[in-house]
Amino acid sequence: MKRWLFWSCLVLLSGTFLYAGTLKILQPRAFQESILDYQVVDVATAALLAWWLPWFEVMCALSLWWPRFRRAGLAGTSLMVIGFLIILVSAVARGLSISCGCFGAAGHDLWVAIAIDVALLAACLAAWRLMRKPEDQSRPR
Amino acid sequence: MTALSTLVLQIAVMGVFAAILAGACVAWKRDFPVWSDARAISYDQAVALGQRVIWIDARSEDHYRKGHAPGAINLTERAWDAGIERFLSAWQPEQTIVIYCDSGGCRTGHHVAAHLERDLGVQPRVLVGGWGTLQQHQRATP
Repeated sequence: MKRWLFWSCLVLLSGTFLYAGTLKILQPRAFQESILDYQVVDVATAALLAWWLPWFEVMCALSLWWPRFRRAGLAGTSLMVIGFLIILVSAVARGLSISCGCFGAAGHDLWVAIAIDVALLAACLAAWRLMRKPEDQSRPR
Repeated sequence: MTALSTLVLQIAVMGVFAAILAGACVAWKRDFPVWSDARAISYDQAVALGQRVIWIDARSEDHYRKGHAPGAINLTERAWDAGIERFLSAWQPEQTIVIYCDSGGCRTGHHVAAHLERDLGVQPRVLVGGWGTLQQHQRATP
């Protein structure tokens, strides 16, 4: 059961980040505009994020399937999920009426995005909990 | 090496690898995100122009009706024909056109700016921070 849950979390995280990263790679300008909509960073920083972040998402998604880099991949996805959650909540708190930009140009309402992010955060926490420690052979690696 | 430093190192390696891939992709596709925004104008810069500025509200008509900058004209890609007539009757060529939207990215505003550049040969500016900035400065009128 634990093994099944662990791999399900990995599939969910990997699939989501692979999909989101690929869409953003294909539409860097649209992603930059989405970043600017949050009114947190300037144009140059948004360009840098639009250029680099989607590839980092893809790297993290792929590394979840490589045992040697799985912890780093999970740490990267966890950090991104937490970062996205903070920025989404801050946008709601500031009353911004924007699309989340989470999946390229096809964005969601901010509350939907927060719900997706909370689900991803739960998957991250479950994966951390269930991931086998090097000395513990009973858990899935 | 501790487990934590190994983790940090691996994340850094992935970050660098992501940057290399991103650079290769940009070089291949030659599709850079926009690094600077030549159209951007701050609220203070726009206000300093005084009467030499004409505001364009690039938000939806509903939002415009609820409140807009004093004298602003509602002009969107969707309702271009009606909006452009109102704009042309109010605009004087010496006035700087400042466009604002709901959000900082102002996608719709940049579309309107590009349209005006094509049709009129002007150089419109886009307000940094959009409607939120105007509201903060309490310049909006119902």
